[in-house]
Amino acid sequence: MATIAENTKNICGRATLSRRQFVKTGGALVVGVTFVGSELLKASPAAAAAFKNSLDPTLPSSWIEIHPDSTILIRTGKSDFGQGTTFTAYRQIVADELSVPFEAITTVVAGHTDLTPDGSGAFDFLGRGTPNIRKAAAYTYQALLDLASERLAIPKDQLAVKDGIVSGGGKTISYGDLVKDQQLKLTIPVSGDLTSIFGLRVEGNPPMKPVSEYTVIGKSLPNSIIVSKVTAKETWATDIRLPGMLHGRMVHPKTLGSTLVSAGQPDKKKFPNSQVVVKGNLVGVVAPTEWEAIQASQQVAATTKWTEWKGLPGSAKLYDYLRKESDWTSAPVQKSNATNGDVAPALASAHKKLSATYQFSYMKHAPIGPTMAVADVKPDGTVHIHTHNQNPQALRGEIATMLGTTPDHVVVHTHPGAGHYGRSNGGNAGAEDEAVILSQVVGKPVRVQWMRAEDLQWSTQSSAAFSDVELALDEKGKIAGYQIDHYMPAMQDDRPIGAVIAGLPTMSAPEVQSKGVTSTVNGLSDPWLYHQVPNVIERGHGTFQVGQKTSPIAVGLRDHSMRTPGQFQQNFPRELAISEAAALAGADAIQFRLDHAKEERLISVLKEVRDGSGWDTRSSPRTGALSAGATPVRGRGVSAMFRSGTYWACVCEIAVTPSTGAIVVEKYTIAVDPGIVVNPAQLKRQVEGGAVMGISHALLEEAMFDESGITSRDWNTYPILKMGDIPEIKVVLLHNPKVGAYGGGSEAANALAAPAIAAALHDATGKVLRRLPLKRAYVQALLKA
Amino acid sequence: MVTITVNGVRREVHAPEDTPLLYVLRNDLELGGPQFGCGLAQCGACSVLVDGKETRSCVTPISTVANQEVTTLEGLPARWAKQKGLSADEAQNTLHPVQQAWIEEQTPLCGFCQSGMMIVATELLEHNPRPTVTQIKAAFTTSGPSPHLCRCGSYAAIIDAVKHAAEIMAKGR
Repeated sequence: MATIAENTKNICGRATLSRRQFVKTGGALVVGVTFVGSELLKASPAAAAAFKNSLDPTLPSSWIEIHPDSTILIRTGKSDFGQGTTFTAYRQIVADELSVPFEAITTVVAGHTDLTPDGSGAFDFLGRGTPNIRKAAAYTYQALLDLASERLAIPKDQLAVKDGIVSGGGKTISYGDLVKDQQLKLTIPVSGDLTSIFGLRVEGNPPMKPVSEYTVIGKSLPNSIIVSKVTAKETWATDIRLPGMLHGRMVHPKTLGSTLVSAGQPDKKKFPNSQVVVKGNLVGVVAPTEWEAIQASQQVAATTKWTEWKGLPGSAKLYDYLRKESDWTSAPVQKSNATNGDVAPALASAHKKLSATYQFSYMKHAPIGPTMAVADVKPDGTVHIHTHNQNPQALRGEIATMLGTTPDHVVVHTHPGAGHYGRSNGGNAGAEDEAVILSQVVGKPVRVQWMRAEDLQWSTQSSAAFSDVELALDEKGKIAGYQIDHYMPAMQDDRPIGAVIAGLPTMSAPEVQSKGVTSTVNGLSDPWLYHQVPNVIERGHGTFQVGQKTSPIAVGLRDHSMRTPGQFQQNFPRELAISEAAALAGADAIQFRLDHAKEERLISVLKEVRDGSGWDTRSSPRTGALSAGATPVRGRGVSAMFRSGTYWACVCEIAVTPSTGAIVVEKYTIAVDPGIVVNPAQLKRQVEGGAVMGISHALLEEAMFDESGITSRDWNTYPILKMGDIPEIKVVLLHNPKVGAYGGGSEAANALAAPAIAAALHDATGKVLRRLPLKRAYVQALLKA
Repeated sequence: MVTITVNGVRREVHAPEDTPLLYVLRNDLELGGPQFGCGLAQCGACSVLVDGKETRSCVTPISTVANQEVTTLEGLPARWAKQKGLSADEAQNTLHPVQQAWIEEQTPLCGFCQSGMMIVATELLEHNPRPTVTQIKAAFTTSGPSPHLCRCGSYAAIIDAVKHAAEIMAKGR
């Protein structure tokens, strides 16, 4: 059960442990790391402020508490968004590193910036096999052994631990007895920036439990938060009510570039307790009850006047605009590390050639619950924010910037809520800054709840993209050269939108020099898989977001990373192009991939998905492929990916009705090799969910917009997959312990469907649709052409 | 003032008659099971049972349910206990089979939609104790004002859980 422990003092015993034993002081591991250890971290003025009202991450008790009754509490800065990892895999990993039973870890503390150590966004939970919590546990284990060695007077290397009992030389002592009335002297070395997207990283190289000794990892243990959610005992972010709290609703600008002319007023007779708040171009309404706030805000919206703005190309002209009018020279071109050889001669002497452009739609993260937050700005300037957010520490920094203060004045409490799929991993979910602004003005706690339309029209979206492929086949039907140019506007704008509209300080909009993922530079994020291809060029071209430079309020179409970010945009064109190349070569699409692969794990997932799906080896399109008629035709396609330490391959079998363009995915088979499978049952549920979301992305999802803003405003205008449309789903988990690490499992599955379904459409009809989504109108138009 | 019966208890509510039931449940009666998803009866996150029928509380004015029995996620254990004639002690320690199945099948991902999903499952199983997969899909897709939407994609897990709940109910546990 996720509980918030208020008492963090009844902890951890005493042992001495020099961090020098584990920290490499040079070499590849920590080169360039400047902040290692408490003193150095606090020496940075920016970092120092963030550490007030936070835990000292260098103290072991900030991560793991061992109580005298041998129960254990763990803390993580990672917020759960439905992955369940913090409640399952993290407990399993810590249990094995400490040699305690899973059940001994009775409390998981997460999501509160004053109660957790490391920050970071809610992604890459397993940290490619070494999440922070694993290293913290490994350090703690060594410290416990040192303590036991001292207490039992037995050399450390003669001690063994099972179920939290240390034994050696015929003597035993439990962890609980070991730590009673003791002070554990252990410094956890950390580096990084607490309020950045990646948070802090635990450094050094403590001894880890050998894979062969795992007893908890590998079991399908239950996710502890599910019970409280199913029995209505969980406190969701949506449930937070503070004394004196007012309900707020926003009146967002008419367009993504409008400025305020005049704010409307509610009818005081009908809505006597409502108050309009205006800050810059930001308009909000607060009232004592939610229903009054909703109705009053609707009335205010109807009478508020805005300037007009028509600075967007509109959905129909998007790809023309991106190719011809976006400035792709503003950011340096990136090349992948797979770039090798010389593609031009291969293309010039190609036996057969594929030259094609692939288009990837804007998609919404579309959480099932619109964003909301409760903010309480106290008279002394301290701010408490209750929200549902993938990176509460980063939000602290953003709110501090907005208010012109330091992060120590901001405490963020993240509670369970609707999944965001990456939208808030850079800090804000959308409503927090607006709740802060309203609370500051009215001097009371304010709860801002976005309505469904706002959540689709004023949130960020997963960026649109297009890619140009040039591919040469030789006479033997093998790829002689492959060139891909990916074009994508900046993929992550972490500015809080309310602060932007209000004209308050924020980080800059994406620029070339912006940090990391918020830069306009388009890095290569889909690792190349076909290493037998002799000549490869992969390039990434970036630019500003659409409308970012022309919107008078610097808004336009703001983008944000979404589940499998960037890699989805790059994997769709590559995998569909590889399937097309196989067809061009008259080869089977899986065999063709195998013929170009070198990595053993890739070969294995491709064979597993082939066998698991009952794939019949043949070329595409199928014999009898039809692009006309009212009778459904069937086809199948495949895709593959490597992401976060995990190899994936997927087969989709579809039926398409040419006359209507309707595609039904009938069977979806996916093979997953993450290395060590930490929790098979939980991984299976994650993969099934990703599969369904991926079919939804592939068939339905396109954020529509006109010249002024997003026009998708509800579930009818932004449809997602319904239960009635899901296929038979088969998940093949490949436990591969010799890899020695565990890869991620919550991403990737959502990206694999699109190229497999597009290849299946080609297989069924003989025609290729190189544009997402594969929605009826586009499929119908393709087949009629 | 409107008097409504929620989870077997009569409650007096001081809210305008046109207030949607959802806001009364969440804000006045502090029942956090039903969630605000769209306010448009398009997703089912706010679903409750009104006289046993799945209803979107986000578009249902409280005045229209004044003489009816409202059941939320919080009321499912008592509803099951009453249907099975369990003693007060037994009822205390009993979950509705739908909740039990949702836990045993590890169904929720983020879980935000699942209160509504469990409400539909309860409605379905009260009318059809052994539904086929086709009937389950229909119940969640075409039976109500809109399909019940899950953004995390837990539909396969929901189907598993409904089938499991039917087994639990058949055993009477």
